[in-house]
Amino acid sequence: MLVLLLAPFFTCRAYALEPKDESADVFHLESMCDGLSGEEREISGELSAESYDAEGAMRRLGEELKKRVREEVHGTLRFASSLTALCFLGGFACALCEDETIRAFSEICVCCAAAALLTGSMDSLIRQTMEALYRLSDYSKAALPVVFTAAAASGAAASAAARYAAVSFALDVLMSLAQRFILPLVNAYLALTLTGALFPNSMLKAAARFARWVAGILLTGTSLVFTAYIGVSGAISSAVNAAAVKATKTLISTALPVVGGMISDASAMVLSAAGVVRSCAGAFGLISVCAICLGPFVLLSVKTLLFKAVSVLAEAVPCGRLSGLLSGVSEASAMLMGLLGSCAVMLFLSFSVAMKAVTV
Amino acid sequence: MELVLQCTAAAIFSALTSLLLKRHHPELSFSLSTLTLALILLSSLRLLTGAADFVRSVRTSLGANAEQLQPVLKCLGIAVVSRFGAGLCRDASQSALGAAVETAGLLCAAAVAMPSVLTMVNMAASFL
Repeated sequence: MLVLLLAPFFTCRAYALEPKDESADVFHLESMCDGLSGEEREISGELSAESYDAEGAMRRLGEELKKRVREEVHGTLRFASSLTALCFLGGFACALCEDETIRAFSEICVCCAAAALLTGSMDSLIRQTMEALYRLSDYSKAALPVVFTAAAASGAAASAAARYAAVSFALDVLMSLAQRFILPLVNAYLALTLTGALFPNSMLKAAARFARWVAGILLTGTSLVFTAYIGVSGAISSAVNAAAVKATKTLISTALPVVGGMISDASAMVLSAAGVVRSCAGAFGLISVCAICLGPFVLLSVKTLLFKAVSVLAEAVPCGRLSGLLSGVSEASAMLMGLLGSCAVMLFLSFSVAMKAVTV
Repeated sequence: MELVLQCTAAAIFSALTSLLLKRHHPELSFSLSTLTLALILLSSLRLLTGAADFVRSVRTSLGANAEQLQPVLKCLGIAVVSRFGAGLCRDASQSALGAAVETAGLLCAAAVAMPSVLTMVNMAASFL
């Protein structure tokens, strides 16, 4: 009785823990920024558990895109002019050679000069695409767990785990396929195109077409399978979430007398805080993927357009081998662009799936 | 335009004179056509300065790959020389000599292009 009477004199203030304050550490948000370079971090902006300035990031991304396109076009103009001049010189040489055989040798020499010019450029394109693919793969491994953890904490415990398993497995398969099969196929296509420019024959042309077809089928097929797999795995598990969350809320509020409703409301608040983290991290992830792919994608787009334009120009000069070579190289460049684009879109989808993992 | 007119006039005059000379002095006829050919080529050489400037600019823009232009220019030279050489031999009713000149031109072009072929094959192999 005495203790009870004295108890009010020994009270102290109790504060509820702000759920958002520690969520940055809980969800390891910093690991999403670790895989990014300084420039990409600058574009993506600051990520916190409370908010993320997606609009600002989009604006910075747009500005960077404009800057990169301007730089790339400026840098490529010199290359384009030398390639065009080479085309005209080749046409001039071929027009002057009356003898078919000497003309063929002249064409081979022109093709070799063009190939020497293109090889450095293609090497750089392939290297940058490969690097971007590896970086996307690494980034997916660092960023997706964060977003899916936040999704799980925001009430999608069942679907987030299932979807993360599905997404990481499918993304791994896609990236491995891209790095081990599709890129070598693009290389093989380039090699066949170069050889075909030297010794034009139907078998080499057919082999090059086959390599391109297989690469296209693999890319399209894996993209379709990936989308379908994620869709199916999501459809199965997403319905479970809403039911589970509702059941838990009802259980808490009915099982615990008096304080049950309060605890249930508090749990809803924690869920909504985790939902904010999930949205912020997801948006940050989407912008980061764009920032990673921006440089290689701009380079590939500008170079592909250039190669296409010069190959159209080469059709006008009487040098069949050269136009074949240029059109083959432009095709290879377009294939690389498709490969990088589809990998980025798949990662985009993965982030979107994580962001929409729960609809309570 | 002027040059083309002059060259055409000189060629027609030389052809007519050669026809007149051919029956009694075939050697003179051949010498006249050779001389006219040399004159036409020499007079058109001054137009080559523009082409040389163009080639120079292409060489500059190619930068480190400028040496790849050398075989193209050599093939061009071989084609022009063997074409006129073979034509002159045929004019002198020496078809076999003309064919020999053409074959020599072909072999020279092949010899010039062979390193380029090897370079391209190596480039293709580097992608595999």
